Amino acid sequence: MKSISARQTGIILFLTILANKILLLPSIMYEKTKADSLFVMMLLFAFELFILWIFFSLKNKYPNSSLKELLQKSVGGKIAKALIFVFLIFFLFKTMLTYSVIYVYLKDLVYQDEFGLLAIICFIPVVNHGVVCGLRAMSRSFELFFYLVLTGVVFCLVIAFFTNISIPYFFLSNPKDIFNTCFTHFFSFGDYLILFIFMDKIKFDNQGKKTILKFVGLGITIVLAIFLIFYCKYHDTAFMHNNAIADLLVFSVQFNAIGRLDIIAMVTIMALGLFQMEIFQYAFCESFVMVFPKLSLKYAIAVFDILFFIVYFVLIGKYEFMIMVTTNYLPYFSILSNYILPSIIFALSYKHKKELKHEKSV
Amino acid sequence: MKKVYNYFKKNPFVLILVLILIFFTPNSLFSPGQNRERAIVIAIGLDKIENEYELSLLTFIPTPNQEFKQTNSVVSGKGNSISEAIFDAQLTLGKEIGLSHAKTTVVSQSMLNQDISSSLDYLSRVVSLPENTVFICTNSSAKELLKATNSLEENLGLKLDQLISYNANDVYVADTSLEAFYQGYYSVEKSSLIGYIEYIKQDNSSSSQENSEQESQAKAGQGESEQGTKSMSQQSQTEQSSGEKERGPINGQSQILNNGQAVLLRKGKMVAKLDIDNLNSINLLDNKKSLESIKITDVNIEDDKNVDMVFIVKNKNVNINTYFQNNYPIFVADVNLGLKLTEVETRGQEIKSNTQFTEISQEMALKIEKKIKEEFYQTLQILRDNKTDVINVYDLFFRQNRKKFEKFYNNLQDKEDYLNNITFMLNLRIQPDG
Repeated sequence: MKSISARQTGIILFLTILANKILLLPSIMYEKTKADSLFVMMLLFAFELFILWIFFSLKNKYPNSSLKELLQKSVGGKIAKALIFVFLIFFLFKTMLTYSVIYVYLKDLVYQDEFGLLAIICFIPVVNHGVVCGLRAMSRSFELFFYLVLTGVVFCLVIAFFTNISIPYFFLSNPKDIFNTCFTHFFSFGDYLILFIFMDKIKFDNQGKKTILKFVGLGITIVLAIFLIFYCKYHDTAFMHNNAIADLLVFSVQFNAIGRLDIIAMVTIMALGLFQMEIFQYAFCESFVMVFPKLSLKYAIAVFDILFFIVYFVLIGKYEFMIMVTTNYLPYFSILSNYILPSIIFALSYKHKKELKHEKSV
Repeated sequence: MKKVYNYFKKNPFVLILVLILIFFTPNSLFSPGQNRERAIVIAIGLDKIENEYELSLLTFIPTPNQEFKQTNSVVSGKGNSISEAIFDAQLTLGKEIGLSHAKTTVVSQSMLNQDISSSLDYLSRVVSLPENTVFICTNSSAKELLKATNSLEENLGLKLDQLISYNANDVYVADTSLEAFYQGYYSVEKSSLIGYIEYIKQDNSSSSQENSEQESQAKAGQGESEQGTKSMSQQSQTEQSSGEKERGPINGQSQILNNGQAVLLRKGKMVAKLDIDNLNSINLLDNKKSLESIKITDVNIEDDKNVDMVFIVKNKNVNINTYFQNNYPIFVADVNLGLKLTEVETRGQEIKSNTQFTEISQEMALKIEKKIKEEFYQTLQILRDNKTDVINVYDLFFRQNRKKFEKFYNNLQDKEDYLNNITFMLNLRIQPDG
């Protein structure tokens, strides 16, 4: 089996941590909780780290088992498939949300008009190709482009320091608002779930765990830094800026004179978007193959493309509706997929302690 | 053939790539250039004539030429709403408009009689006018100003946003951008400050009269001093020879005057116009701005000979503290000014002492202090009268004494009038520099 290293796993996590959080999220969060959204993010990241801890302990107990094997042993084939089906739905919508956020950015800054079909034609074949190549090839590509993406993100952050920034007002929201906002944006999180999907393909030891945690720490730090600097720069107008990381770079009179500086943000966001969509689509396809073992990965890709077209264009159509769905309805689903399901898997793993010992001795 | 078939069977994604190329390459090659369908707008002007909006667009027309000269033209559209005016302008242009490159937005003073944000909303939210566009006001018609700007750019290569960038960096408390306007508009203070450019359209008779007056002033060597700190860009709307340009305003000329003035807005409506002295008083509290010049009169330097002196602020150290005394908020600004004497106006007297190394005497220091304080409190009164807090007093109190200030603020009968309930103290320490 083609496995990926701890470093590659870390980079995948880094990319998914940034998914859906560095463009639209700071702006829509500000509407309710102002600059206290930073605390909302910290809280949500704390939940995420709990899931990561669950994954590490599972991986410790079942180093070579896949999610399907793990669930089949505990609850039987049919229920296992049903549980994995939840992940399948989660990743389908996750890919759509990622696509929507990037689409809004490109529409605002590049195309000015709706370019839905063109975007699909440009994005989907590239993403599909990544998935067909497999996890290892994808991970290598991410490794290759990692520093390019990191430089782009850091550049956008650093340039903001050369404009007028000041610390925003904190502690203006009450705990109820903070927890409500947490709930509303559950769907933008749950990124560590991808680890459960290909847990059998990840190889790492204790040192590897540290490497993964380093990348996770880096990802979380960058997201929080983007939130903080974005609020420091825009304060009360934060709700008007839908593309946080790009807007950190462009919206200042000082840099008006420097031509198209926003190209740096554009390239970074495009690369990030494609990589994130690849990861989420791969997770969808892997889940699909686990649920329908007789069908191959290529079928899974075809099904994804068809579903993407149907759900996105026929049922959802507009990205505004997509954002509404993910903040109004999908949070309920996210509680199940992001937190309840990993906790169930964790609880079930204790049920088979004896089997685990046997597996280890083998 | 079989080889090709097998290759595509093995690598179906190459087939997708080929199909994309087949479908899109001819389409891209034969589709017209985007500039045929979309006009690139580099500046926008907004006027209101009676109940109708007039939207003027300074558009860039890409044309092949060998002079590296940019061809711009002003096109306008009218309508009962901004969207209608845009539609009308698009009809006139025969193209859709693209505002992504719009670096300047000019509104006429009449537009500021009502909340301007409602007019700007459509531009910034729907048609993607960038928020980093320079946002200024003009006394007359924004359309006329854009036309004059067009010829200013053609003849001098000077753009309106470049003209105002000096003010944005050194004169105004914040950028004069749409973003800065919105930040003030949506803040608790509800106050913004935007740049003001005066446009003077001269008719033939008056311009020739002024022309001769200015020429005579220049001969007397008083032209520059009469203008004071004002910077003036003059531009003809008709083609002129370079010799004519050097002489200054001539028949049919219009002037774009940048006096460093700014417009004070409250809730998007103009409430006052601030001159350069007012702005310098506001800048006094800002460590970063140190380009003010201070003129004092009747200073005795030699045997009953009185002169006027101009000092410039070479360095500045501002320390602002806020505290509460008997539940009343006190705002204290300690300002250390390092001044340098730059000009001595002798009023035609013969002064023999070396003024280059003049120390700042007690008399000078007192006069400087009096002048600065007078101007500061005058400006403060304007801000108090108009309930506009562009010096971020609310922000300072909120950060330094949050609980006490919240209590004080919530107990106010008129919360918007908090500036009038705060005591301001300005402590100046003047010393020579350089």
